[in-house]
Amino acid sequence: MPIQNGKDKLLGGGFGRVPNVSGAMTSWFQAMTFIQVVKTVVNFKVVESKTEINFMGVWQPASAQSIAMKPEGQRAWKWFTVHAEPTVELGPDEVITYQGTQYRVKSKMDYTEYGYVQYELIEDFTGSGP
Amino acid sequence: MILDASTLAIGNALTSSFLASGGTGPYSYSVAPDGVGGAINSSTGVYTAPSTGTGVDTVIATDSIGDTATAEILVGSSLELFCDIIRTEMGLESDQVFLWDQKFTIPNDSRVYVAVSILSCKVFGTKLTLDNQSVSMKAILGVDIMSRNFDAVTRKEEVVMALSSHYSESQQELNSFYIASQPSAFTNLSQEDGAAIPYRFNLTIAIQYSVSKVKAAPYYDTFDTVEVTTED
Repeated sequence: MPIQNGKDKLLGGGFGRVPNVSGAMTSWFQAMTFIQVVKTVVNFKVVESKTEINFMGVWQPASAQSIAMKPEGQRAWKWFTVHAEPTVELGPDEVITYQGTQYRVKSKMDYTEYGYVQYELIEDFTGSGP
Repeated sequence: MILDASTLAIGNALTSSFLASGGTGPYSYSVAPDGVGGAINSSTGVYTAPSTGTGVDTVIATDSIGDTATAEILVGSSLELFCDIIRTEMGLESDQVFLWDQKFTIPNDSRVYVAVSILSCKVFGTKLTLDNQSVSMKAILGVDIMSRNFDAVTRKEEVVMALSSHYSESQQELNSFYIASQPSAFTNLSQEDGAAIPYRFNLTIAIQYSVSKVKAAPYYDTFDTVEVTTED
């Protein structure tokens, strides 16, 4: 039987898909609530509406490495990382409030195939949003 | 059955005439609840906007066999009616024209957006009568035409055409506001450093308008309650 080296195997090649790591993530997840702030135009005026999103996830400060990669002017911002279930659908520039403070989504890393999504958020001091 | 109106955008306390046709007469008119609170004469179809408040009312016409037709009428300030002129004449959706709000950035789609903002305004007259008070204003408006595709470049002239259209003239006459000057130049803000919107043109337009409110004067009512004492 020929020896199979790991380097010759495609990621998840034997199964037709990438490994789902959500099982490993779940033990770290806790119940979280975001309030998504959506702004729409009604009769030429901007109206805010709030939608509650309940999900399982982890909230943590952004790693020093990821902050070091930001442009110089952005490193002073308060950056946070959220790992969440793929059911949480937010996009860049969208605004949420979490525990009374407003945050803005800066990027989304969509690892839905692996069983989770990752967001980078900053604290939104100005209160301005999409 | 069709429901027509003399105008579907109107200022406070003004009137618009609705006329139903294509059904079986006679027609009766009503205003749906939960609107901005206007009133309509059920037989003549003359709608009167509320003296305060902005929003939309839905007018319902019903014919003698129970068929109905509806139309929405916008009740707004001069600024909202100004937005309505641009939206109507350019054929834009209701969310594509808005009064500029610092909390709002245009969505990530390829439609053209028009933002109207007040750059400055000043009072040039006030008037007080028994039950009515009004302020005449002159305002400089900034109109921004923005898009992420090339539309802002090719459609910016339509804003000027909208403001000088027949609809614009009739709305100005009906609602007592006046677009005082046509713009002479577009400012191209497309090349601004850090601009979130690739194509952006700005116009500056002066308008005159008045804001009024109806309020009874309580001072004069006291004459009714004066007591006259006489000696026996």
